Amino acid sequence: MLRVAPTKLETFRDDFTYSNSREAIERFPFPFPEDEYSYSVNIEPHTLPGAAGSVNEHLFDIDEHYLSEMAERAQVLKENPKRCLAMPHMELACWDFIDRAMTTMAADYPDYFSLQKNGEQWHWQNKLLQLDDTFTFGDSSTLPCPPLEYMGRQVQGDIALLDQRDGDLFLDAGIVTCPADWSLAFDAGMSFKEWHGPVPMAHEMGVFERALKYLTAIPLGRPVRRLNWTLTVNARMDTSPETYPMWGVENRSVTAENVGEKVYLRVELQVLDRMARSNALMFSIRTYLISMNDLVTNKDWARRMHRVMKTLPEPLIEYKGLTHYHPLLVDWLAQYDPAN
Amino acid sequence: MQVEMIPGVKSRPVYTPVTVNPRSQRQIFIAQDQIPAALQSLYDGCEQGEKSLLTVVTTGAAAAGGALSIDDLAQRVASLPQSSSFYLAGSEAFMWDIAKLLTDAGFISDQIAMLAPLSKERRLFCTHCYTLMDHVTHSPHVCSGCGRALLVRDHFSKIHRAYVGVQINAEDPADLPAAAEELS
Repeated sequence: MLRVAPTKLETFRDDFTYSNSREAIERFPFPFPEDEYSYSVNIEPHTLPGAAGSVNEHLFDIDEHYLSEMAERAQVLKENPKRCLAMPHMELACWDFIDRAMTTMAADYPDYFSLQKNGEQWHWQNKLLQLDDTFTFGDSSTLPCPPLEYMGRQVQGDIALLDQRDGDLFLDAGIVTCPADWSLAFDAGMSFKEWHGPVPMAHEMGVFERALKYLTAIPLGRPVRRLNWTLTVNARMDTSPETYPMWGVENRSVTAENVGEKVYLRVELQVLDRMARSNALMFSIRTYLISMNDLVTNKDWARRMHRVMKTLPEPLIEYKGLTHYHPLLVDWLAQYDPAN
Repeated sequence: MQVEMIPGVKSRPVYTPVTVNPRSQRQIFIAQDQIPAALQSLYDGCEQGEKSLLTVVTTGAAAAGGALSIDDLAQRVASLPQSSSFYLAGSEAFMWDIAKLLTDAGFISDQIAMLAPLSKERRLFCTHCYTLMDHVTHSPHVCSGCGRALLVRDHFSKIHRAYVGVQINAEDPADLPAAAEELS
C-alpha cells in the first residue's frame, strides 16, 4: 500500500499545480553522492525489492503523482501521436514489456492492479485508471491500441525498448512524453553511441564504450539502475525538443526572487532490464521533480546542491540548457551553505 | 561502410578514403547526376570482379544517356548477387538514400562505401514539425514546414538521413542572429 495514495490530479503545464507531499520529498532520489560535481556512469544493481518505501523498492515505482502523470502522457500523445513509436521488429519486445510490467505491478501493488492468466488469455485490471481488459497475450489485435502504447499509458516514466544486435543497442521503440530534451522521433533507430552523440565530455572519457559492454551483458532478472539529473524551470514534465518553442521562454523567467519556486531539480531513475523473449533491453526513465523550495527543507541536500552547482563544468551547464539561470541559482543556494 | 564518428561531433559521419574490395564479384559504382573524377578514377583502377558505373538522376534534367532513375536502380540492384560491393558519390543525403535502398534490398553496410560528399549541403529534420528539407547550406535555416529559424546541429540520423534542427531563438523570440552562418 502506498503511504500516499494517487488520488490527486495535478498539472505539469499552464497553471503548474504539481506539488510534492512531505512523504514524496522524503523519498526523493537526491542524486549527488559528493559535494563536488563529478562525472560518473554510476550504474549499480537494481536489486529487488529495494528499501521499503523508497523509489527503488519496486521495478515500476507508482507514487502519488500516478494519475497526474498518466493524464499528462495522454495529453502529449493526443497532441503528437508520434511521441510513441515501435519498429515492426520490436513487436515481441513490446509484449515482453507488457508481461514484465503487468506481472510485477500486480504483485507489488495488489490494491491497484491485478492480473489473471489463463494460458494465453490474460485479464488485467488497473483500478487507478479504471481499466478492465481481457486479451490474448502476443496478439496485438486484441488490445485497444498498440502494445507499447497500451502499457506505456499505465506506467509512470518514459520507456524505451532497445534492440540488441551486433554487440550494440538500438533505440527501436519507445513511448517518450517526459524527456529531458531529446527527441524519440529523431533519435529512433540510432545505435547507443549515436544517440549519445550530443553528450559532452563523456565520449572522451570512454564512458560509452564501458557502459555499452556492461549493458549488453545484463542477464535476465538482474536489472541495473543509475540516476541522471538536470534542472527544469517550472514543474514541466514534457521538456522535449518538439515542444521547446512552447517552454524555451520559461528559461528566462527565473529571477533572484523566484528561484525557489521556479527552479526544479529533475532526477531520472533509469533502469535497464533484460526482456525474456526478445532479448531486448527495457530502458525505463522515471522522472521525479522537486522545487528548490522543497529541496532546501533538507539541510544536507541544500548545502550539497550549492556545492555541486558551483563546481559544475561549463560544457555541462550549456548542454543541460542552464546557461541563463545557473548563476542565479548558485547565488540563491549560497544562503544554505555555511562555508559561504 | 567506411564511415565512423568524428571526435568532438560524435554523431556526425566522417568519410574516410575509399578503396575497392578485391573479393567482390560485382563492383557497382553509383554517382549522383554526373560522375565525379574521384569515382571515375576508383572505377578505372578497379581490376577485380565485373564492374559497372551507374549514374542516378536526381535533378530533373537528365544527365548523359543511360542514366537511371531511383526506381531503375532499385530494380537493377534486386538482381545483383550477394557478393557485390557499392561505391557511392554525390551529396551526403543522396549517398545515404542509396545506402538505405541497398540495405532495404538485403545488403549490409560493410558492402557500401561512401566517398567524401561533393557539397556541404545538408538535409535537415525539423524537430518541431518533423519536416525534412534538402539543400540546407546555412544555420539558422527557416523551416519550410513551421517557419521557425532552426539551428542546424551536427547530430545526424541514418534513419532520416538528416541532421536535426532546433529553434534557435525559443528562449527569446526577439533574439535572431543578424546573419546566417555557412555550414561546414
